[in-house]
Amino acid sequence: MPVEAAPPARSLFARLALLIALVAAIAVAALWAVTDWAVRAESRTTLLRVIDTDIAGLADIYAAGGRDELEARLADRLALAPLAGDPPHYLLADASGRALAGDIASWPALAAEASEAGTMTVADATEGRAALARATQLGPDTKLVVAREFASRDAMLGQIATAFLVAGTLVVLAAILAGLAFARRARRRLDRVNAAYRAIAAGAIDARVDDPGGRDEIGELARHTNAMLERVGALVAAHSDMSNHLAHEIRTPLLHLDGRLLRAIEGCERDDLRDLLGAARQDIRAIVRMLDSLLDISASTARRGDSSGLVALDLSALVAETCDLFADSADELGIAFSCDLAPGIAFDGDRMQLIRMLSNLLDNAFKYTPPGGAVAVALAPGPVIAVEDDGPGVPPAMRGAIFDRFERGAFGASSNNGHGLGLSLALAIARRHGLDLSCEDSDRGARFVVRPESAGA
Amino acid sequence: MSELKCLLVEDDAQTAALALSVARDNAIELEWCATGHEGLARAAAERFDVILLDRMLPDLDGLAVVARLRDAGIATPVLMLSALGRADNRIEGLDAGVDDYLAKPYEPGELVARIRALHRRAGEVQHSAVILYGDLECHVKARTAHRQGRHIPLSPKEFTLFKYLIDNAGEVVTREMLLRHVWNLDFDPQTNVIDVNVGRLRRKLEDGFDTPVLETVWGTGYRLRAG
Repeated sequence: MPVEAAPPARSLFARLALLIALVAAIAVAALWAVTDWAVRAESRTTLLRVIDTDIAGLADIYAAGGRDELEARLADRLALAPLAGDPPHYLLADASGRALAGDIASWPALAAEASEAGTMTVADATEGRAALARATQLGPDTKLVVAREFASRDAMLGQIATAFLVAGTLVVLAAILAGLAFARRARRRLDRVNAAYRAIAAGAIDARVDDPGGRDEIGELARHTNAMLERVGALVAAHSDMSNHLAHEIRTPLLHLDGRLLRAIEGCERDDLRDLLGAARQDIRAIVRMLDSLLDISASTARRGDSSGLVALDLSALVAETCDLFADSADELGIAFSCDLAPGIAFDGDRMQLIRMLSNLLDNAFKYTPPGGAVAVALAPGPVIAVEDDGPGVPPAMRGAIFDRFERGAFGASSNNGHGLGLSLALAIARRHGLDLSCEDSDRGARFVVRPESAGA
Repeated sequence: MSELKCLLVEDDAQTAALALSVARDNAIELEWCATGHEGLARAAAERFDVILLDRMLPDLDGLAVVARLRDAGIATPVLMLSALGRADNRIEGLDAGVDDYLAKPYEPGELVARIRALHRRAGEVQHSAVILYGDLECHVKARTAHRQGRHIPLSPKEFTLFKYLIDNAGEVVTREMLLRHVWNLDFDPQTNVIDVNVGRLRRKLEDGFDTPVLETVWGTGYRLRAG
C-alpha cells in the first residue's frame, strides 16, 4: 500500500467538529421542545383555573338573577373585556344549542352535562384563534361556554422561541469554534506523525516525529511510531551491514585465491595448465557475480514499495537503448530481433536497474533462441513490456518456479549464472518499481511480460 | 612513461602484496599503509598522484577517509578498491567523493588502467574544441573525426567511443571503463556490443590508411596509438 505523498484532503477532525456542532444544535432544539411542552401544560392548567373561577361567578349570577340577568352581565363583560391578558369569550345557549347571548357563534363540540373542557376555535371578523373552553349546564334549558384565548401563553412561547434561537445559535457557533480549535491542534499533532511516515517514504530513513506531545492517545501514537521507526531503522542498518560484511568476508578469501592463481599463471610454462588456472579465475568471477546478484535481489526486494530514488524517465528511450545493446549480438547469432516500442512513455524508475532488468530478460531470450529464430520486444502504454522468443518455451507448470530458484536453493545446480538468478533479479527489480514480471502463454517460445502489479497477471 | 607515485591504504597484507606487485610490474611507485589514520597522515604529509583506498578498514571506514581528505583540502584523486562491488556500493562510493571505484578481485590490467586514467584526468584541464593525437583529430563541438585531414563519418555512439579513446590516448582502456563512460552502464550486459562497436570504429579509422591506430590489449582492453 503506497503511502500518500501529501496530507489527505479530507480531515477526520473537521468532520468531528461539525458533528459536535450538530449534536449541540440538536440538544438545544430538544431542550426547546421540552420547555415548550412544559409551558403549554402549565398555561393550560392556569387558564383552566381562570375559566373555572369565571364559571363559578357566572353560575352565582344565574342562580341569583336568572337567565336575563346573566345575559346582561355577559354583555357587560364582553364590552369591558381588557385588552391585555387572555381575551374571554362566552356563549349562553338553550338546551338545543341555540345561542341566547355571548360572542361565540355556535355551540362547540363540548358536552355541557359533563362540564367538558377542551380547545376550540373562536372566530373573529378576520381569523379564527385557538382558545381553551369549558362547557357547563346551568339549568335544564340553559348551558354556558366560557372560553379564553391563549394570548399570554403564545406571547411567552414566542419569547422562549426567540431566546432559544439566540442561545442555540451562540452555543452552536461556540461548539464549531471550539471543535475547530481542537481539531486543528489534534490534526497538527497527527500531521507530525504522518509527516514522519511521508519523509520516510521519500527516503529519509532517519525521519522521526518531532515533539510527540503529552501523555494522551496521540502522544502515545507518536511515541510508538518513533520507537517502531527506530527499530526498523536498526533492522535496515543491520541488513545492509550484514550484506556488506557477508560480501567482504566471502570476497576476501576469493581475492587471495585469485592472487595466488595469478602468480601461478605468471610462473607457469605449460599452456594447458595456464588455461586451467585461467578457467579457475573465471569460476571465481562467476561466484562473485552470483553473490552480487543474490545481494542485489535482496536489496531490491527490501526496497519493494519504496519510491525514493526513482526519477521520471523516458521508458521508450530506455528500452530502445537497451535493445541497442543486443542488436549486434542478434546479428552475430543470426537471430531476427524486432522492437515495437510505443514512443514517449514516461515512468518513474531507477535507470540502471530497469536496463538491468531488461538486459536479463533479453539475455535469457537470446540464450534460448536457436539461430534463425526471432526475439521480439514490445512496449505499450501501461507500461507493458513483452519479451518474446522462439525458444522451447516454459511449460506452464514451471512458470512460477523459474523465478524463485533462490527459494528452492537450486542455484548451486544452475551455475550457468545467467538464467535462474537473472530472472529472479529481474522480478525483484520489477517489484521494486511496482511492476510484476510473469511468463505468459505464447504460440511461439517463451513470453515474459512486465506490467503494473495492480493490473493483475 | 613518467613514474606515478601512489598511496595504498589497505589493511589486508595479502591483498596489498598483490597490488604492490602489480604496481612494480607497471612502473608505478606505490607506498603502503595499513590503517585509515596512517593513510590520512601520509596523504597530508606528501603529494601523491593517486590514492588507492580500501573501503573496509579496521579503524576508519574508507568513505570516512575520503570525507576527511576532502575536508582537509586534499584533492588527490581517490580510487576506491572494495570487496563491495555491487552497483549500489559503487554509487555510495561515488556519492561520498571517490573518483573511481574498482571491485575486488580485479584484473591487474584494470587496476593499472584506472590509476593512469585517474591521474590523466586530474592533470588535464584543457577543454579545447579540437583534440589532436598523432594524425587523428577529434572536433568536440562538431562531433566529427578526421585522420590525415580526411573526414571519417561516425555514428553518434562511435563518436562517443572515439572521444573517450582519444581522451585516454596512449593508455589502455578496459571493457568496464568503456561500459561506464561510453554506454553509461554500471554492469556488464554480457553482450558483444563493445567488440562490435570497437571493431566498426577500427575499420573506419584504419581502412585506407597504412598504420593501425586502435589496438587490442589482450585480456584487458583497447588502446589508441599514434598513427
